[in-house]
Amino acid sequence: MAYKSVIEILNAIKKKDISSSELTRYYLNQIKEKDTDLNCFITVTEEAAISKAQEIDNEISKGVIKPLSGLPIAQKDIFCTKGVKTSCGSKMLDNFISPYDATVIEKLNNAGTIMLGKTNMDEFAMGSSNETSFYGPVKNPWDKDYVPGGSSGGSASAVAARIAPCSTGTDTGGSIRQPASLCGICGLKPTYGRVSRFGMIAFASSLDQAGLFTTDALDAAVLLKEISGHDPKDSTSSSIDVPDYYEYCINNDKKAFTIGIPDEFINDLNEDVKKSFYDSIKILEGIGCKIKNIKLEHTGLGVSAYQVVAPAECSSNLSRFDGVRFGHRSDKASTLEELYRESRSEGFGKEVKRRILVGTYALSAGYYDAYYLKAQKVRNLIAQDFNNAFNEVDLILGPTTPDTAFKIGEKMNDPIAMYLSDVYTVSTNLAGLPAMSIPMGFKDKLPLGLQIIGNHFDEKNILKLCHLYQKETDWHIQEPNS
Amino acid sequence: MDKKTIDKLTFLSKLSIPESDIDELSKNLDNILKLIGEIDAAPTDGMIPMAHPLDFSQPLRDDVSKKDINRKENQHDLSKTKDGYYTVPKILD
Amino acid sequence: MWETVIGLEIHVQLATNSKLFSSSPTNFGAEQNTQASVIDLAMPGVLPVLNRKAIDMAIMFGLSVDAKIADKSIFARKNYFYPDLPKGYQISQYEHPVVQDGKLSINVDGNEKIIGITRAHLEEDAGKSIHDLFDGESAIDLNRAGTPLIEIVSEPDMRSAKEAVAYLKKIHSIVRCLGISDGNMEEGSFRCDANISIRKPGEEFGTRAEIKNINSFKFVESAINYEVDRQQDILESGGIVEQETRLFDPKKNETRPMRSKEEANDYRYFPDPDLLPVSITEDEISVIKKSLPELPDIKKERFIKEYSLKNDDAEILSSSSELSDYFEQATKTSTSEIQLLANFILSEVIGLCNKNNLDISQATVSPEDIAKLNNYIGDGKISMKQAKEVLSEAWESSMSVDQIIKKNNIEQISDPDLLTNVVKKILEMHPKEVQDYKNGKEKLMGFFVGQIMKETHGKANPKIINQVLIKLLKGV
Repeated sequence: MAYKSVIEILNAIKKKDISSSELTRYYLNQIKEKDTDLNCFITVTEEAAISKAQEIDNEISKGVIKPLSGLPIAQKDIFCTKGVKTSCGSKMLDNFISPYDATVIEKLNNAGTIMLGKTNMDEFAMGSSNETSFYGPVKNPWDKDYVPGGSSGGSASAVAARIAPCSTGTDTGGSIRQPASLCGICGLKPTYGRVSRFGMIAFASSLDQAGLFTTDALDAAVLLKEISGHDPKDSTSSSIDVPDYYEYCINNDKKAFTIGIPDEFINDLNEDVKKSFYDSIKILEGIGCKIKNIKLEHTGLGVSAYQVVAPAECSSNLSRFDGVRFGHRSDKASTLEELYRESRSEGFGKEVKRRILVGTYALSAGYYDAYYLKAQKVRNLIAQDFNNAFNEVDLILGPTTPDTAFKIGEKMNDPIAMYLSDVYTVSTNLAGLPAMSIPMGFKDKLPLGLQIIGNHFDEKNILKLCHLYQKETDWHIQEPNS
Repeated sequence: MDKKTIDKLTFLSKLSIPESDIDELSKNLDNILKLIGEIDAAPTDGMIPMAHPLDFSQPLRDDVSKKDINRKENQHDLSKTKDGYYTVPKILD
Repeated sequence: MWETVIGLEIHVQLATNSKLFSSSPTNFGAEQNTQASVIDLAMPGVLPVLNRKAIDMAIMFGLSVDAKIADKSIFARKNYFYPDLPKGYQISQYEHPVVQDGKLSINVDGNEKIIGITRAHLEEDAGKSIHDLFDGESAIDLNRAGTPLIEIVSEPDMRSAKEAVAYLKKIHSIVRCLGISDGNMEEGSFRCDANISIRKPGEEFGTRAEIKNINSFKFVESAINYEVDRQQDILESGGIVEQETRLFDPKKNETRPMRSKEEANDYRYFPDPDLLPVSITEDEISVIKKSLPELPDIKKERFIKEYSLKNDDAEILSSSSELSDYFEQATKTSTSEIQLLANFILSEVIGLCNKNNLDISQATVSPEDIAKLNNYIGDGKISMKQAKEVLSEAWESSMSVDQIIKKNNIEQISDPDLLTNVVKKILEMHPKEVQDYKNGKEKLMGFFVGQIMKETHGKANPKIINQVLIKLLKGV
């Protein structure tokens, strides 16, 4: 396939070098061939995709071109899709057909994309390895014994394996950036409020944000413009103007960014990661960036604070899954209490139950002040650190994850170890900041990721820097060879 | 975490944990509490809790009703309804 | 010996077009689950957006009870499981409610008393569970889920069932006057829970019981009285009153403990992360203040001053905007003393409304016609008795008062010459009774009047008859 990136595809379709139907069939075949091994998809919407592709071809023949006409895309199964199963990776929603479309889905549909299917994910977005899914683990295409990361494991793996040119994901504590890092692709988490959360099944409402997986930064720039913007259906969505990110990346000639490297991010790095990271710094200096050491003093509290706030909010958000109006209902119940307990216990997996219990504890009488309220204050501390840092620097740099992917099963019995792998990503969610992970090298043939964090609503400079980096490097063009 | 607390939590969250899993769960929860307990020492005197990363006010919606409700689509899962009502085992008041 | 302490929590359904956090309609009586949108059903991924009108209405209420309006108000989640609560939490308010520290005055047996209002906050209503529709199952209708409510919490300032009812009626009249609720207790748009305890005067508050499901003013009295007796019995026999929630059973006229839920429930309130703090500015408040209708208390004072009405009458006439509108419309064409017009409306018009189970807004006789009737009485054109008959007929038919008077030839006979002839005739027919009267049997005046009325088919003007009778009896 000659047209791999989003931009190549859009141009080819526009110029009629390839039809939308042909391109869509190509990806559907790729999925047929490769996905049995990888398990990226929960649902493949073959018929609907072919039908939409034909529709697009008709439009193009009449001269109607939309911003993303003919672009095939994989949608994380956390976004509600009307008339299509939406499972959130859980047995609880195995039988759920959504009666409406999420705003992100609507926007992408209206922009002309073609949905290939719904991707596998950690159950209710809780996890960092895509091993908690009811539908089985997703494999990392670089080595199928290894995890792709999570919770957006299916979306990341699909793009890395080149069975989808792009996909959507969600990031609450790193669930886009970490899988992007482990799978060697680009993963963008926008500023909290940049993209509507309406129709995105809620995990932790004050942390969740929808985002994108692509193979390069310019692709992300094109897509980000289409999914961003104020949504009157989401009270927490921002009305700040949406710039033309692609145009900014291509035409604006800023390159002498001042980049901050937090001491706290490089203290415990292993040697390989450190080397790749410092090589990347050299490349950025080479294009004119200035590097500065900064402190994000309270970053170390991030994981702890996150493991209070996220479970607390999710314990409440998941109460609606009670077997009454939709979703899994136990047939063992003869009283209302049994209906609730059995349906929920049968429908939820272990990690989800753990987090609900922790969250319930953190909010309960007598513990609310010490846990939830305290964690929200720690958020402010962390946010302040970033605020101060952005007074001195334009962007902040660090590794996305402490190491490469781990083996499937390796961390499943150690939830704490799993939580700690989020250490570089959670603080950005707590502060609501945008961040992107791009490939920066390999260790033992497994990808490593570089994280760029920006100030609120400064996605354009993150994308710009990533684009500049990708002009000097070719990590992002590498594909797994299987 | 003792069984009494776990029982209270499972009651509030409507979960049922099989006896055989209680030990493992208790250990897990203890470890998690230890991890999150680290925020205890954080210097947060005088800090306001951050309920939101965004600093703006609730947008308001005009009081106009929309007639676009489709009960049939909403009740796609007919196993849970009867004559348009949702049904549950009889509740004694 | 025992002092009763009562606090009331009133849930008032707001008369908005759409729900508190979704655009679903709020009409009463729709077919089950046809007014429940994906948001009301708590489908995965949905989010709440706040109805501007509900905030405005809460502010209106706050201003009318002299309360403080929050400049920043926060919505919180109250977490518990019940099938009529689709999200598994209710969006309500905990800290930072819209309204705090208000008060209003009530009038009981001529005594004014101030009752404190701790707070009033916005929250969404739950759906309905129906337990007797299907065998072995409860049916859930979520049409009502998400309808806006304000919960008004009083201080425990009431000391008797009468005070509680007076407070309840005052709140009722305020919300109706403001137009923020239709206050229909039968349809459930005005619901009252009572917190009742007893103590020896001067001592600490006793343990209170919460009584739910009180849906009429009459039941409030019954529930409170029953509960006070029950608690008294317990304490006097050495027992302890349990803090519990009880249901009022109107059929048996008693309270009993609620069997389900609520025990050991920890609601785990926390600010709803899907909603942002609501900002209310001074400007917004003053715009609303300027547009407030005249409130019952102010109207009452005005009625007393402007129309020289008695306190109690002014109280009743100002208590509902429909009634006060009716009354004031009637005053516009009144030629009599307004107090008399008020008396007429209060006894006759309200009487007919009550008899036919109607609200004053459904009165079938216009205020103009009422004023006219009352004017005729004052002019001596018809008697009170005749007026009542005319009113009765006008009520049932679509004819005007004038048409009926004309049709039935009702005009009162006030012509003194005509009446003198009739009186003379009657007196001549009963010489013995005339003699007895002259000898001191003054009571016979009533007899003569009765005979004259019979003779004139009730049309004689009683005042004139009396004058003529006295003249003739003294003279003859």
